[in-house]
This record gives sequence, C-alpha cells and structure tokens, in this order.
Amino acid sequence: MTPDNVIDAYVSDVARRLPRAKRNDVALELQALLREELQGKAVMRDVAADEAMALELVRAFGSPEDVADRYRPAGFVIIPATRSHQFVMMALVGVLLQWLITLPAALQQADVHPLVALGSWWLTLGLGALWWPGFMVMAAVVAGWVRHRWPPAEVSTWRPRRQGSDDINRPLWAVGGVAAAVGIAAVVGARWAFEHWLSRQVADAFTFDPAFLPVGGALVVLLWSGNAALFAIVFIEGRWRALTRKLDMALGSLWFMALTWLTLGPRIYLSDTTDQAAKGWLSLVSLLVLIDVGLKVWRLLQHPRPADTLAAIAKH
Amino acid sequence: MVLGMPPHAPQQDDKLEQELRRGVIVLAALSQLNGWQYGYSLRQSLAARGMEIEEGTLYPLLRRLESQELLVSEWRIEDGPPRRYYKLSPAGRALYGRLVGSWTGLVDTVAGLIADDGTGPKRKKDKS
Repeated sequence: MTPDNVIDAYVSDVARRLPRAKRNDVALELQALLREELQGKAVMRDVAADEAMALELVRAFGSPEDVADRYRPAGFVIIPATRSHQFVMMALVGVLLQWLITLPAALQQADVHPLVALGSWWLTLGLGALWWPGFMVMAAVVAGWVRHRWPPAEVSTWRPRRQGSDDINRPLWAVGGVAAAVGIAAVVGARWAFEHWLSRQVADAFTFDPAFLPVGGALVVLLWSGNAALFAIVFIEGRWRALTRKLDMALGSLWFMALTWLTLGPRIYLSDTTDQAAKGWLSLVSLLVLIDVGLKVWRLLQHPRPADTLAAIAKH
Repeated sequence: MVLGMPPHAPQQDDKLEQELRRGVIVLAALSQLNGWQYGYSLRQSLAARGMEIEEGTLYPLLRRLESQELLVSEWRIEDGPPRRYYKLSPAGRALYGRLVGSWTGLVDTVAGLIADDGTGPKRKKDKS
C-alpha cells in the first residue's frame, strides 16, 4: 500500500461514521491535512514517506470511531451517569417482577409438561417482559431530547426539599383507618349486603368457598389484625420509629407472600367468575404491595437516617 | 491511605496533566486565528511557540468551533491542495476576549496560591 492509500482508507473509515451532510467536506479536509502531516514528518526525519510512517500517523490520530466522535457535534445524553445505576436496577426489577408473577402461574397449568409450559412461557410472557426495558429506554430518549432541546435555566433553581418527617398526619390517618375498615367490611359482608339489598343470585356470587375460610380466611384476618395493631401503635405515638418501620416492611412482605399464594392457590369464592375476577384484582394488589415494600427498602438504603448512620460510624 | 480511595496510579498523573492542558487548548487556538489559518499551519504555528497540540485533537476542534459559529471558514486553493482556512468570527472574537480575561485572572490567582504554598516558584514582589 502506498502512504496515500493508507490515508485514503483511514479517511474513508472515519467519513462513513459522520453525518451525511458533512461527510465529504470533512473527508476532503482530513485527507489534505493528513497528507500534509505525513510530508512534514518525512521532511523532519529526512526520509521518504512510506506505509509504516502513514500507519504510525493515523494510529496516533486515533481510531476512526474516536475521530468521528470528535468531529460530531455533542449529542444529547440519554441516561445521565448519576442515574445509570438506578436505571439498570429499575429495568432488572421490572423484568424480574413480571417473571415472578407470570412464571409460577404458567408452571401450574394442568395437563401440560413443565418443560413445555416453560418453553411456551418463555416465548410469550418471558420474552414479552422485555417490553419494560424497551419502554424505559424510549422514555429516557424522550426525556434526554427534552433536556437537550429546552435545557434547564443557567441559574440553578434548586430549593431545599423538605426532609422526610417521622411525624404522621393524624386526621389523614383517621380517614385512612375508616376507609380501610369500610373496605374490609365490604369484602367480608358483600354476600350479606347483596342478599339484603339486591338479589340472591348476586349474593351467591360472593359466597366464600368453605374450604378457603379456615386457612386463607384465617391468614387474611391474622394479617389484618397485625396491620390494625401496627396502625394503632403508630397512631397513638403520632410518629414512625425504626421498629415500627421495620414491622411495616415485614408485614408488607408477609402480605405479598399471602396475596401471591391466594392468587395462585386455593379457590376463594364458589363462583368461578367471581373467583377469577378476585384473583385478578389480588394479583394487582400483590404487585402494588411488592412495589410499596421495594420503595420502602430502597428509601431506607438510599436515605439512611443521620442518627443511625452516625451511630454506625461511631461503632467502628 | 483513605478508605474507599483507589491506590494512586502513575497514569493518573498523565491524565491530570492532559486535563490541565485540555482546558487551554481552545484559548491557544483562538489566539492564533485573528488571521486566516488552515489546520496544519495553525498546528505548526502553535508548536513553534511551545504549544504542541495533537493533530487528532486540534483538527476536529476547529470544526466544532466553526459549528458553534465561533470561527468562519472557506476553502482556498493556493500553492498546493485545496485547504480549509479558518479565522475568528465576531462571536469568536468576543469569546476570545472573555477567555483572555478569565485566563489572566486564573494565572494570577493560581500563581498566588502556589507561591503561598511555598513549594512553587516565588512571586516577584510588587514594587509599589
């Protein structure tokens, strides 16, 4: 190869990575400059330019990809470096959650070999769960473009954020407590209410399966009692403590496990339609509970309480 | 050693020095572009004054400054192949003035800091 051939091949490799509009112009300029650089080197060393010298020159100039990057105008950032870890975690957790919910249900199909069920699940819901990272990337692209197109004002608009308080809003909690009680009463007394105010057929649709009540029913009542006790303690104390927060997370985890079991496991209502609808709603609730617990754990890890942190550092 | 800090690597010294130099490359290039210059001649002119800038850094920089409308450019055919010549645009001239002001202030400040530290060269005492 002649030295000019080396330079031409290099320039062509750089140019094909550049936007079409400026490709030829940059290539022509770069070619002329590199040839002149090569001649300069040859004169300085008092030898004729050869292939090795040309290769040395273009390798020092940079890889075609790097050089093309240097010629490109700065693009917009899709995922800021400070958010990349969070982004990856959200993508992974989203996919894992979907698999956690759909895989056990797929494997429980009767009359289907587990391997066949697994294969069928992988080709449908398993791979389908990857919509979530794709959706996140598209959202990040749009957000990045908006930040690039309308950058934040030069003068920082940062304001101190109100620190998370341990105090609770008692009136709001009272309303929440009443709403929860009404909700529980609605679930438990649905049959009775429908029988008195609507028709017997509607009431029958909300009849619990007798086999469900001793185990499933008891479990739900136990967890409701736990929630009621925790609610009462926090309400009376007027604030969260480290212990009550941990109890709250533990109860949330138990609720998630119980709801998942109820969704996948025993029949709850005698009516097929009601049972399926109830399980659909319960799977949604279990997902929300899991997200809630996940967020609480994440907050705990992200924002360690200063006093706890100082105490932990002092111990070491 | 401070906990959580990676051990010191000699390559870090080079990187830090490169970073220091990178900060003044734009100012150095703009200083030579009051008149028309093309890439190679600009590099030679800077090198002759002790400011060596790698070609892989300088040539793309000229294009980027032009796309930011700080330089104007045109193709010319004189004694040799076609060459793209650059010089400061009015916006580039204004920026250059600002950068010179910042640079002068920085040099004074940093020189003062180094002199106070006692390890650097002593500053000349003011005669006043």
